[in-house]
Amino acid sequence: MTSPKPSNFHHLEEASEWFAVLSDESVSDIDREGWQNWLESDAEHLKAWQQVESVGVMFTSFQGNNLQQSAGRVLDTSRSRDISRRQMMKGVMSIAGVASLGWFGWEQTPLPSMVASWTADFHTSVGEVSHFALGDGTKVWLNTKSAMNRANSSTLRPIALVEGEALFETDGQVNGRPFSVTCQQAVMKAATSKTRFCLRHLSNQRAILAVYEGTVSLAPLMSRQTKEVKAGEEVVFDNQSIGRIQPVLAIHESWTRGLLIVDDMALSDFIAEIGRYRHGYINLDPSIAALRVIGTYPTQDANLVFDMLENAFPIQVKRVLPWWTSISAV
Amino acid sequence: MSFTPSVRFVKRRGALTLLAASIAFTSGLTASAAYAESSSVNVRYYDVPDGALAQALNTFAAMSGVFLGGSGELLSGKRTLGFEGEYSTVQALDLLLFGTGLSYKIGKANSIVLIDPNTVTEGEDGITLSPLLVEGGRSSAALGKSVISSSEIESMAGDTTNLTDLLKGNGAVRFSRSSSTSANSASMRPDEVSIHGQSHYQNSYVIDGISANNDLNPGGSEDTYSNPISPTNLSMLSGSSSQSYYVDPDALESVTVYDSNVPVEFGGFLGGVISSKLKRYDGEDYLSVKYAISKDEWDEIHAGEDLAEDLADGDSIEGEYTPEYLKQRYTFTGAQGITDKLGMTFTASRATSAFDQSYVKNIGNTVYGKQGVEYDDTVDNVMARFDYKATQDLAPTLPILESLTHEKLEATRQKQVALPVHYFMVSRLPEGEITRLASRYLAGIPRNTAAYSESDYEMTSVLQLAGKSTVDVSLNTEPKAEYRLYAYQSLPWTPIAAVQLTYLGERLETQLKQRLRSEVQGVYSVRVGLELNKDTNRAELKIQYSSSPARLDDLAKMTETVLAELPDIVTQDWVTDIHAAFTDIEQNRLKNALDSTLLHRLELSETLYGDARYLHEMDALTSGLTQSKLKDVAMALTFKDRVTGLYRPLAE
Repeated sequence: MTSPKPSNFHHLEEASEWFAVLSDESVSDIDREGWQNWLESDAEHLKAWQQVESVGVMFTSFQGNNLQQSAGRVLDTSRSRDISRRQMMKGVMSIAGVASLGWFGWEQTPLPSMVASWTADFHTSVGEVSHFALGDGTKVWLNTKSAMNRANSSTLRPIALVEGEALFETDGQVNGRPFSVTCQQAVMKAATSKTRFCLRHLSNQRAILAVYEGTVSLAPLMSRQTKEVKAGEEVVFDNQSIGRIQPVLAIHESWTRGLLIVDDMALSDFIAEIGRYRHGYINLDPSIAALRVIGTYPTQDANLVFDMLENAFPIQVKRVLPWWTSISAV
Repeated sequence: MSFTPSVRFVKRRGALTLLAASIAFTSGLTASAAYAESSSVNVRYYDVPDGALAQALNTFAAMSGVFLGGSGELLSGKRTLGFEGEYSTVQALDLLLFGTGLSYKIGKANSIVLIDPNTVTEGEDGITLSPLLVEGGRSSAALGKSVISSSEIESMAGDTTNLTDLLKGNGAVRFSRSSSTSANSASMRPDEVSIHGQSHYQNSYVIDGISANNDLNPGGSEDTYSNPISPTNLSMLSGSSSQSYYVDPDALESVTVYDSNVPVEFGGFLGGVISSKLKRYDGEDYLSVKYAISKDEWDEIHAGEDLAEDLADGDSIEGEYTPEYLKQRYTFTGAQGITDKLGMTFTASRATSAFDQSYVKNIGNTVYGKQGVEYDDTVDNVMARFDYKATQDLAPTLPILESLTHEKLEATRQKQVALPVHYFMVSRLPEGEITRLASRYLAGIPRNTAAYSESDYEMTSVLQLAGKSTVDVSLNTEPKAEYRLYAYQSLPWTPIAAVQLTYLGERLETQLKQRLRSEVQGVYSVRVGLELNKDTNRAELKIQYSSSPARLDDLAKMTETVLAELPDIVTQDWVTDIHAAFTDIEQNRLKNALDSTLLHRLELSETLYGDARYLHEMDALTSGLTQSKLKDVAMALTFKDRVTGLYRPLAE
């Protein structure tokens, strides 16, 4: 698997527009020629094209619909048939590779973990939030694209968060066994009988623990260190070390109510948050990535969020393709 | 087309102000549990503390149930002053943003973003200004009733020279189809209107409660189209009308149109009611001069080709067209205070209209050629209204003040000074010294104990009666319910018990609020008062809230439950918290306001115990704030004597 560097915003923008043009059923020969010229004029263009194409293929495979087929048909009938087909195949082949590099802002998802998610006891798809109670009175909310396993052990009651994000609300101990949950990096144990905390996998093999009620003790898997995280605190950790304790943010809890509450967040991070709840790629102009976003937004209605952002900032949101949205400065 | 310049001179005057107390009841529905589905919920309870706007924004979003966003750069450094109370979302937003210079834009699905109203951006398409927030209030209080106020009359566009012109925006009012044809352009007669299709003479015109209908021949007029003005029919120029006065709109304070649901005080007609109120003097002197002009050059008259020639000449056998006209109107409106109690408002207006028409004169079958007619009409209108304030002012009047002499004041003072007095003193002087000074300067003042009779100053307290009762009535005119609970229990006043009850009261309020909101819902502005009354030696509890009518019974039941479980709210965590908080407050009080605290407590102690023992027991105040002691108090508070009030809305 090759590791292409992310193409720049403008090349991606052009590529997505070409894709939209070619997806149109009444595409003309002139358009095809124009696209061909564009593709050949710069090596970066080809790269950008591949990236757009692979997102499209991925989207189609998730959606299971045929939005993508028209583009495929155009490509089949184009004069550059051989190249395109090859590109297309390459696109399909490199889904996992591209995904693992995370350059397009999706949750970093190595293949084994994807398989693990599909076979997990509880899992949610993109945009889905589910809520259920475990037999011991613990309530669990599972956020978008997350998976959780339930194991049995005589001493502990461990739950394993395989992927994504979950919020746990425990109430008391069962037979003196404290509630415990593991993630890829660490083991968390409820240190008080009543706890309410959120656990979320981040990129770069890190995770975050945010505690809203009670105290949770945190022990990374590859270290002997443990730390007690109290209500009102949050901490980022990996499997060896624990970061500095920070005041807890509302965002790790508000998603259970369908809200994205942010308190001064960079637009690029904010867009990544929105992206977690929907399929498709959001191409963000780097010149506006540093704008600061404050407020309460819905997690389940990206179009409304885009409307609000357009009203609040000098930016423009364009939906080039069903799975490709571009955000640029006005 | 018309043009209306106006000048207004205003002089403010303090006297003769009528006290107008308007009590606005906010009609609220229950807060819906679903977020951002609250468009039907108008009023909510807000409690936003002052502080950084960025933080307050999300607090506000949570309270209002709207999606709310903004740019970090815009909000940085901005503060909100905070506010509390029941408001609509828009009112609350205005309060939130008061003083920040920011505005907001309302988008789809209850989403709002904050914007800077003063930004100007220059782009390829030219200059973009921030959206201008236009807020409109519709003055429609009830079905079938619409009110046009004087400020609306003043800002109304178009030709508003008479009463019926003001009604053009009312959907229930129909104007004659020909009212905007050329034939009528020069006429100064008010249009006849039909309300809900009834004949125009079936409307009731009322000015200040007095009928202003034409009793002679109200149905005798038609519009000039169906009954055109001609040399033989000049009566149509003035003609009979259904109104007996053509009142000038500038003289009007308000016009109310009832098209259905007509109140009982109006009657004897089949159409609608057009009730106008003349302006009255409200303590402000002003004079306003207004000039209005409308003329054919500014008008656009559309005519079919076959009529174009007739129109140009203004000639037609029927005199249907008045292509050339000039209408002018001068108005003086003013208000003037005459004495403290008498004020007047007046309006004088003159409207003139000049136009030409020409007719083909024919008698029988003989045509005598064209004949020109020049019309010159004048309508003069003078209105004066005097308002006399007949009631007595509560404030002392000038004659009373004038009769007040130095001797009278001195006599009152002497009497006051001679009354027996208790002095409470806190001093750092040695005891002997302060006693000497007090006895010399204070105890030395002669007191007239005979003039003092205890019974003169005795106050009878109105006390709640023993026993349990419930008052369940439907009396609310708003669609919401009210809950009240008044309960008491005998408990001798002690400083420690007073502190305990204060904290229990606070705790009860938060617990009750939380349980009512989370377990029953549909409640707002919960208030709990629990205090130990030193005059009655009673623990007095008061609970009040308003709620959605449907939830009232459940809420009342939950309130009983919470009260019954009073001892359970005394948790160790809470006790630890209040113990620390009270210790802190007490230390602070003794550090910053030692003298006044001592003085206050000395007075309390002397009044209640006849000695200064409270001052010696002060250090033991915190001893009452332990879990077991508070639990004991809570257990003892059964409040067997209580009155519950359930005030429901009036049945529809």
